[in-house]
Amino acid sequence: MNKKTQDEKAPGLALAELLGEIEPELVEESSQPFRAARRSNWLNLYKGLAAVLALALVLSCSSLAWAMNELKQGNQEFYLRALSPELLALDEDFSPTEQPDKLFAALAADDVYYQYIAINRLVELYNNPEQKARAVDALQPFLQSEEPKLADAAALALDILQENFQDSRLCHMADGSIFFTLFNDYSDYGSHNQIWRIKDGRLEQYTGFCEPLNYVRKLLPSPDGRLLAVELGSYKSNFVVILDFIDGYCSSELVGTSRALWAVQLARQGQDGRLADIRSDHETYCSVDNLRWLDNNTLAFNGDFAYSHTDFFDSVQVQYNYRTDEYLLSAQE
Amino acid sequence: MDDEGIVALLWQRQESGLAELKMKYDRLCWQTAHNILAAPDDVSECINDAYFQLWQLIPPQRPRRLAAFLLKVVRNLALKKYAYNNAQKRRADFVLSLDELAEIAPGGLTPESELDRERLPVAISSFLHRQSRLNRQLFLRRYWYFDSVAEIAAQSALSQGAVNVRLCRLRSDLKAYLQKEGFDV
Repeated sequence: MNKKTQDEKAPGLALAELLGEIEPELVEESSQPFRAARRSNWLNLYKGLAAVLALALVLSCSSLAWAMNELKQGNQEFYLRALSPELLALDEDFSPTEQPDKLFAALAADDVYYQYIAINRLVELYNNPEQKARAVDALQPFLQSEEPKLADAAALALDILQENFQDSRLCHMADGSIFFTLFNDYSDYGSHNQIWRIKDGRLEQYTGFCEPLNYVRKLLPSPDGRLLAVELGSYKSNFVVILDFIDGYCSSELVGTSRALWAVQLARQGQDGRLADIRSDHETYCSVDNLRWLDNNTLAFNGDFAYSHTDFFDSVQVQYNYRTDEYLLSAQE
Repeated sequence: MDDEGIVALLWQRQESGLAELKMKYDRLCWQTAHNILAAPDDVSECINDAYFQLWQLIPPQRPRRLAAFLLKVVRNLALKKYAYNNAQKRRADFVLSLDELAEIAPGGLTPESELDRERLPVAISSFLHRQSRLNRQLFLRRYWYFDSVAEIAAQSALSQGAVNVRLCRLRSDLKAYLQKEGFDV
C-alpha cells in the first residue's frame, strides 16, 4: 500500500480510534448474542422437544407448559427507545396517504421495525375506503405474530380500521369523537407523542407534543367526556395537560405550574430555599402518579417535585380545576 | 471468577488477578486484536501489552465493566500497532471497514482535534441509543469489534446482503445525525 492510500485511510482510522471512547454499556451490550439468533435456538429447542413428545406419545401438561414458558422467554420483544423521525418516515419525504404502497412494502419486509412502523402507520389510511380495506387484509396475519408488539399493534389497527372501536385504549368522548395514540407503549417510557382523533368518520392528527414531552403515558377522559387529560413523559420527568377539544383549548402544563406554586406556598410558610430550576434539556425530575378525575372539571394526581438541583424532593397532592383554573396543593401523608 | 472478584484482586495488586483475567478474557482479546492485526506475533504482543497496561491502570481506576474496559485497551493498542504496520501486515476486511468508516468521518478529524475527540464519541453514543438493539449490535460488531460481514451474518441469522444494507443505512443515518450535530461530515 503506497503513501497516498495510507493517507486515504486516515479519516477512517481516526474515527475508529474515537469510536473506542463510546459508552462501555454499548460495547458490553453489543458483545451479547444477537436476539434473532437466540430466537432461532429456542425454535430448535421447541422442535426437538416436540419430536421427543411425539415419539413418546405422551402429552405431559407440565412439560408443555415448561416448553411454552421457555419459548415465551426466548421470544423477547424487540426494543425501541425512541421513534426518530427517520425511523417513522421509512423513507425520505414519505407520506402514507400519498404513497401507501411503501407501507405495504414495509409490512412485507423481513424487518420487525419496518413492520411495526408500517402496522401503526396503516391506520393513517383510515380516510381512504379502498386502501383501508387493503390494509385490513394485510394486517390480519400479524394478529398471530410471535412478536407481541406486532400482534398488539395489529389488533389496535384492525379495531380502528374495521370501525369496531372496542379497544380499551380508545377514548370515546362526549361529542362522539374518539381519541387515541399509535405506537402504544412502544418503549418502556410510553407511547408515541402524537394524538389522533376520529370525528364524523374522519381521522385527523389532533395534536402532537415536542421534546421533552416525548411519550404519552396515559389518556384519561373526564367523567362527562368533555375533557381529556394527557400524562406525558420524557426520560426523567412527567408532565400533564388537559385538552378541551370541544372549545379548542389546552391547559397550561400542570406539573410545572403546581411545582412552582408549591415552592411559593412553602416559602410563605417560612420554608425557603426551593428553587424550581429547569435544566437546559427541560428535565425537571418531577414525577406523576395516580392521575384521576375527581369530578367533571377537577383533575388530581400525586406529584413528586424536585427542587434546587434535586436537593429537595416533595411529595405533593395536586387538585386542579380546569374551569376555574385553581390549584389545591397539599403534602402527601 | 466474576468480574468484581478479578477487579478486587487487581486492586490488591495480586498477580492471581491477572491470571484470572487471562483465563476469562484471553480468547475475546485475541479475537478483538486479530480482527485488526493479521500477524499472530502482533496480536500476542498487543494482548500482553494490554494486560500490562491494565495492571498499571487498576488501581487507581476501578472499572465497573471490566470486559469493555479491557477490550477498549486491546482495541486501542491494536489500532496503534496497525497504524505502524505496512500494507502486507494488514487484514483486507479491516481495511474495508475503515473505508466504510471513512465515508462518515468528519473532515479535519485528527487525533489532535481535542474538541472532536470529546464530542464525537458522545454524539455517536447518543445516535446509537436511538437505534434498535439489533442495529446497535450490527454497527458495533462491525466498527468496534471489526467482525467481518460474514461473521456478523452468521451470528445474527441475517443474510450478508441484509447486514450490508443495514450497515449502509446506519452509516447514512449517522452521517446525517453528525451533520445535524454540527460536525463537518
